[in-house]
Amino acid sequence: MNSETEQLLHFLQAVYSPKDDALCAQIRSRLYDYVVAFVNWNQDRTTFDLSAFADLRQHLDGCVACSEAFSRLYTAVVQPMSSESLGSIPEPDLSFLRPKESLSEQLRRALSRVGETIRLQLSGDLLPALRPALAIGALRSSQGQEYGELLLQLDPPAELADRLPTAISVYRAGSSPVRCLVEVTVTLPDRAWPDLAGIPVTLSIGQQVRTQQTDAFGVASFEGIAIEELPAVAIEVKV
Amino acid sequence: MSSSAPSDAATLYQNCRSTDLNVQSAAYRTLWRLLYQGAWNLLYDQIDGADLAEDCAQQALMRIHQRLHECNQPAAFLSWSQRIVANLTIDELRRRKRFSGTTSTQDEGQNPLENVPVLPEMVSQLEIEELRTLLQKAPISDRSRRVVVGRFFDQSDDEQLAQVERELSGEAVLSSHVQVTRAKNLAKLRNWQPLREYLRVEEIND
Repeated sequence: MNSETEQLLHFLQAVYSPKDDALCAQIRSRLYDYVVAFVNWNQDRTTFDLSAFADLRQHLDGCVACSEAFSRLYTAVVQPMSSESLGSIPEPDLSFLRPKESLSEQLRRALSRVGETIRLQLSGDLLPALRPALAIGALRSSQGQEYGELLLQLDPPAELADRLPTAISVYRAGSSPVRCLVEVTVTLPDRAWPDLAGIPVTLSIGQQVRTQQTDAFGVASFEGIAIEELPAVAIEVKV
Repeated sequence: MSSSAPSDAATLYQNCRSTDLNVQSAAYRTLWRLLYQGAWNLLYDQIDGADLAEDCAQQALMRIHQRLHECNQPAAFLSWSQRIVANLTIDELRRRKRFSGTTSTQDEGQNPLENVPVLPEMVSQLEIEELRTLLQKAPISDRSRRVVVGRFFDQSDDEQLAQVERELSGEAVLSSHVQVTRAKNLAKLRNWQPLREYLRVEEIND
């Protein structure tokens, strides 16, 4: 193909190129590099060349949106705004730099033991780690009440099993969306179903204390707990 | 491109990786200024430019933190970071439809060659001078005609074309302005009847 034919081909391809959003996305990811190369090439054509961007340049002729994106980037590079025009620069949010504690570390801090009583203190920091990854609409039924959404689930990590022989599940009440059911399931190494009944479990919120005994499955249930008070809940199990 | 020395970039890169939270935070605050400026350069003319710049710069900051290990050349850390914020900002502008994307001429009428690739065999039948003459009659401005004909028929580059326009108009014309002008006017030519007829005549004659 001679150069004249090539010129005509490029002209017609630019005029009649179909819209291709996927290609545009691909081209846009290379635009900054093209701008840098273009500026360098304009300054020194003996050292720099744009052959690696031939397809991109052809695309720009046929795509107004990508051309405008190129123009905006090019202007930003060769004629950046003065720092005076910036005005005051806002503060960045650097919270992502703080190291995230693992669930095990958080639980260790929340656990204490006095004699045979193991105590777990929930908190506002701990609760987000206990929320299920996916919304689960469970249907639980207890003494005629129905419970829906699983709000929290704590299954103790293997490395803490001996210090925290307890799983905790919290379900939103069907009858009152601001209340929930807290189920504490106790597992002991030397006891199994149906021999898990009679273990005292205490749920306290400040001065309010409620005690239940586990059933044959090792489950103690606490109904009507205010969801907003969950961060203040402490659970004690006498093992 | 960056006014900072490579050693400054490498130092900033290392500080961003520091295990000392104070050193790391200070480094990210320095990087933040660069990213915010980069986003602002692209958004200064938007009504909500400051808010958008803050959003884009924050996204870029977190993305850089996540992908720090992908920066293979610490000396080029600033360019690498600028690329990230530029790409994010351009994508955000596109997502919010702050680019025209289409002109009314692109929306109206059909692309006569849609789904038909422009093949060299089709083109070989065309006469370049006939097409150049035809384009002299196109309903586009003289400047538009110069940048279209200059690129495809005279093989001028955009910096040369911008120089011509600067001399003719006395305005500060950048080569990027030439690029956008040409793209917009090529879109207009898409539905220009005489060009469509000319091409159909050549197809019949094949």
